[in-house]
Amino acid sequence: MKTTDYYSLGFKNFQRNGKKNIAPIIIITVGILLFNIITSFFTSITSSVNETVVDNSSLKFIHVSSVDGDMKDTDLEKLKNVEGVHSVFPRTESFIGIENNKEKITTTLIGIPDNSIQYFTDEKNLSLSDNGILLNKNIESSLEKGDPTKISYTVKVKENEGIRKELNATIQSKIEPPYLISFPEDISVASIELVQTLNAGFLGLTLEEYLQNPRYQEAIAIVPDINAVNEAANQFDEMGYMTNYSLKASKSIPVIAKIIGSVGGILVIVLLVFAGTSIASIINQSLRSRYGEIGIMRAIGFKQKQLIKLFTVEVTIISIISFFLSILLSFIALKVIEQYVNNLGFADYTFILSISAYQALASLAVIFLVSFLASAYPIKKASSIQVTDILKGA
Amino acid sequence: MTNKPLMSVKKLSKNYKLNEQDISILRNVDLEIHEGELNVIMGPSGSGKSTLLSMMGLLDLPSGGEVQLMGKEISSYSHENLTDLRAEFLGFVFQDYHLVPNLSAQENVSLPLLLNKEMTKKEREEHSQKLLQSVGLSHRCSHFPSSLSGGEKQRVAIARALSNQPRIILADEPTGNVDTETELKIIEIFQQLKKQKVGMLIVTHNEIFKQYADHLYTLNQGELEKVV
Repeated sequence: MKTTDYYSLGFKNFQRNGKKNIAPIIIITVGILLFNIITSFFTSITSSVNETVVDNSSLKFIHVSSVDGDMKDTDLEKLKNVEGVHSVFPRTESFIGIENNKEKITTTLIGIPDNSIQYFTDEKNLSLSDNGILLNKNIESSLEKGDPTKISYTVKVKENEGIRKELNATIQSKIEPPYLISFPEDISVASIELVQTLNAGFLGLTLEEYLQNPRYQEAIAIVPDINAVNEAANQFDEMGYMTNYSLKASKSIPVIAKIIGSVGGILVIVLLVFAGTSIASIINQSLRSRYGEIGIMRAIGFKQKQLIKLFTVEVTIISIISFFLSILLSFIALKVIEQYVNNLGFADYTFILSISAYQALASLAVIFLVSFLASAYPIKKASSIQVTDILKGA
Repeated sequence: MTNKPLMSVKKLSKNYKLNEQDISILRNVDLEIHEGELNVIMGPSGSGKSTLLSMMGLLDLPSGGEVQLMGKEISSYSHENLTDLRAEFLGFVFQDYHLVPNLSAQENVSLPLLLNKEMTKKEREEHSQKLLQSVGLSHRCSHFPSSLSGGEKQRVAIARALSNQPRIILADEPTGNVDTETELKIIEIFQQLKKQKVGMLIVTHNEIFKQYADHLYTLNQGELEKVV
């Protein structure tokens, strides 16, 4: 039997079922519509979380302080050994002036170790030079990358008396500064040694004297894997430190996404089981009413596998109609929901609800899986029934 | 008529088990179908006529005995092989027609031809139109079974049975649901088939076939007896 004949005969049988086809098509369409809405919501929330959490370097920083208020080098060493921690450095900052012959600006310079520079700039293979500055690009300035400049800072000479000094520096790069809790917004970045030198001068000490017994207000730990931030912070807490990190507030977002996904998933499964049962029932009814003609087809030489193929065409037509209908309705529904939700403005981010090619393929796969699983038994039963029983019973 | 039968059964028996009891439907049946012969089997209801037709039609396997088709013993053939043999050599006519309601008369007649991959759609259409013409229904080609009378449906079923150009026609009560006029038309078709050297086996209650039968048999309690 030719493939075109299977389609032609299968389509005629589908037409013959008429309105009986509507129920499984509607049920499976609603199931897939819900599946797409839930998947799109889940994807949108997850991508929003990724955008605001995972892709945001600021949330990879954990601010750690001790109960007595001072962090020492030994504390920093302990923190470095916690799993998932890339680096730990003390909070060091210095309010400075930067000037050249064109202008004078001020910024809060924070010191970072060279191995952490990738979390402050997108520039690859950048290494902080001794007097290099990664200038905050949000500070209004005509200074550009590579410009020579001078750092203007205060050096203590006596109690309550200081003098301004200058240090040659270079603008190594301009950066979008990360958000660091309790840091001012005007932060720029330099090597930790440079900032410590400036601070030592402010206290009237040499760098060696300054580093003899350093005490820091807090330490900053960097945990590159966003999924490990909570775990690392918990360990710091267990070690007796106090932690503060932006992800603490964002913890609930992935949980909400998971709840939506789980509840929706159960609903979708229930609907798909219902759709499957409906398809099984319709196909069963349709085939039972055709036992007489199935018998004659078997008698005149149609083989079991040919009949299975023929009935499969009917199920395929139901599946394809359900697929296109569900994708069309899903697209319309998602656009309406997207506009409604965004107009409500209850979230900080914009919901973008759409159907990806993968989602459409997943819908198609689910529809075919449900349809074929549901109809497999009635089709097998009808195609393998004894011809003599059919002809006698009809 | 040649001496070699198109089909023959020897010592054919069929038993069923019902509540642990063996029930014998057919016992030691011997029968041959030759080219251009009309064989008629008559007998009361429950005598095993339809069961015998199923065995001869390769729709069911016997419990014992031999079945030969075109000179080959086929009792041990697989279902697949038997299906192929049915498609190639046999045509069936049933009392209840079993036409496909959503196919036109012509499409119903074309149904067995779908199994022939060599035939184009146009060839199938032409062939089925000729067959419908031969049973006097050329004007009903595009009509669906729901708009045909009982007699017309049966003639469409006969045309369908002939579409694969079978060597043997097996008919179960072919005039069971038709009026006298159609009955005569159907007998006329069978007479024409005889001229085309088609062998036929008809099981029926209809006494009219007695006068047209080349061989008349009666089947009583599973035993076949030749009358003429």
